[in-house]
Amino acid sequence: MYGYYKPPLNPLRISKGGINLSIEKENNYLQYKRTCCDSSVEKLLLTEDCGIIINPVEPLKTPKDVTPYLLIDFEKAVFVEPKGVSKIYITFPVDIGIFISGHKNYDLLDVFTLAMQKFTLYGDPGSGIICKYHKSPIYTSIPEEINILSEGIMRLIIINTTDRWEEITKCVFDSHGMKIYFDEKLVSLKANMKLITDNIAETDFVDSGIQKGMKKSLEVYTVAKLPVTLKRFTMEEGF
Amino acid sequence: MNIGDIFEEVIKFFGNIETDRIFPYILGIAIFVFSILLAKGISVFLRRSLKDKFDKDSLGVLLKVTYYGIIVMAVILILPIIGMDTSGLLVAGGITGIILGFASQSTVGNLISGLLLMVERPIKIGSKVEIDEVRGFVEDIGLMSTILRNFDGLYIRIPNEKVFTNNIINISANVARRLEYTVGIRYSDDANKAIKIIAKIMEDHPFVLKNPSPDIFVDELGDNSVDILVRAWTPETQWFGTRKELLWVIKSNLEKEGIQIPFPQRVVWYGNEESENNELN
Repeated sequence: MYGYYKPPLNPLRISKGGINLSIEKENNYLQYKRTCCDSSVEKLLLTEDCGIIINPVEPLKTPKDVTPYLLIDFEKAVFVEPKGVSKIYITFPVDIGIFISGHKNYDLLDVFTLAMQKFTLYGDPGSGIICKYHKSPIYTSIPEEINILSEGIMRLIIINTTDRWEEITKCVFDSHGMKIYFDEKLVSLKANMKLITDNIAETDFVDSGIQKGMKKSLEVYTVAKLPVTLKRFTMEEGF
Repeated sequence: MNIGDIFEEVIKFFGNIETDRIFPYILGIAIFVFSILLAKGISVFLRRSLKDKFDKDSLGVLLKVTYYGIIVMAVILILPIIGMDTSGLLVAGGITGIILGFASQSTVGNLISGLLLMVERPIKIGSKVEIDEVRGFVEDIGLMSTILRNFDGLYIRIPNEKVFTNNIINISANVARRLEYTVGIRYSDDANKAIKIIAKIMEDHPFVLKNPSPDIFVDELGDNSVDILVRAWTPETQWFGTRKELLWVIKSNLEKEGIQIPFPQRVVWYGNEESENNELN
């Protein structure tokens, strides 16, 4: 489903995993229709023809743009040895972004998701932050059975700079800096988590895919023309 | 004329001047110049330290009041030095001050409250607040008054003294907010089953936070119903939408499972009558 659909589009019809998407001619213009998960969207595209890019995007816009933070809760705790560097694979939720392209420009046309929607609080109500919530199993190698329309695989490098064994049950990221890469079989992300003290960790993303030849996704926040660089997030309320 | 002669002439000239008469004026000018420098210095210091706490207009007023206040005080200090009697001025100023003080008591109160509000910052522009039983969004915080737009879209001006002396509830200060329902079910219904149904609804709703987890329990054995208390946290921005959506979902799902929300009822027993139907439903 992911990829670039070149013009002429008339008609474009995609049905996959409960998603029905179509772009059809209506007089001189194009009619965009999408149904998915009990919701439907119709938009009129005032152009005779255009390209469409479909790729996984940061899970920020659905169901509402409430928070840029993503908390991934581990199904089982991870212990990291003192001064150790470990690599694990976890899942993360993705939204599906539909971008319209043409005249050397592109913009976000629609965004929706098949991933479970849940939010949580990291910290306390006074000083904490609201995060998108995702529960993930822990893998030591890249898992195969993943629905790429709803989830991606994150390679997480955990760097323990302390002199103690550290237990990790969750990690929090600033999704603005997410660099998602994809191909036909996999949606991926690389991230680091640096344990600074017993209670504080720093997380950030790496701008590359976990396998060779993966394409980089267009980002929702690049489209919004926000100056997004690779952002670090400091987890000050424990991990 | 050599240098020695010139020097002698200068000494002679200054010797003729009555230094006792000139010195107070020099001192006065020096104090005045110093007060201007001091006022400028304090203004710069205040501008730097308060620029994040005050809006541009209010800070401008404060800086001008400080600047001219210092200069006026310096002038009052200089006047007796140069031999002008200020006792009359002080008496007149004192009486005027008392009259103005009484006349502008509330105005000054509002002004000082406004300054304190700007320093303490219990509310910000855009905050959702409740002040003196008025709920709404803060549109502006001025020196004299605070402007709210209530949920009906009405413009409400509250004097700052009232804002400062009343309890302020800043609804949007924290990122998460708890909602609470009491759901009454019949005594004949299974409360555990009802709790499970409500817990599932909470789990499925995206804006009911995973952590802090919802709390659902039998709170009271009431006159007409078993009261189940439901407490759940939501993002503050989604609180009202979630609250209005969930209650009806709870009611509908309970009824689908055969659990009814009872009406108030009363069983009346007559003295010599025995009822076969002596169970409350």
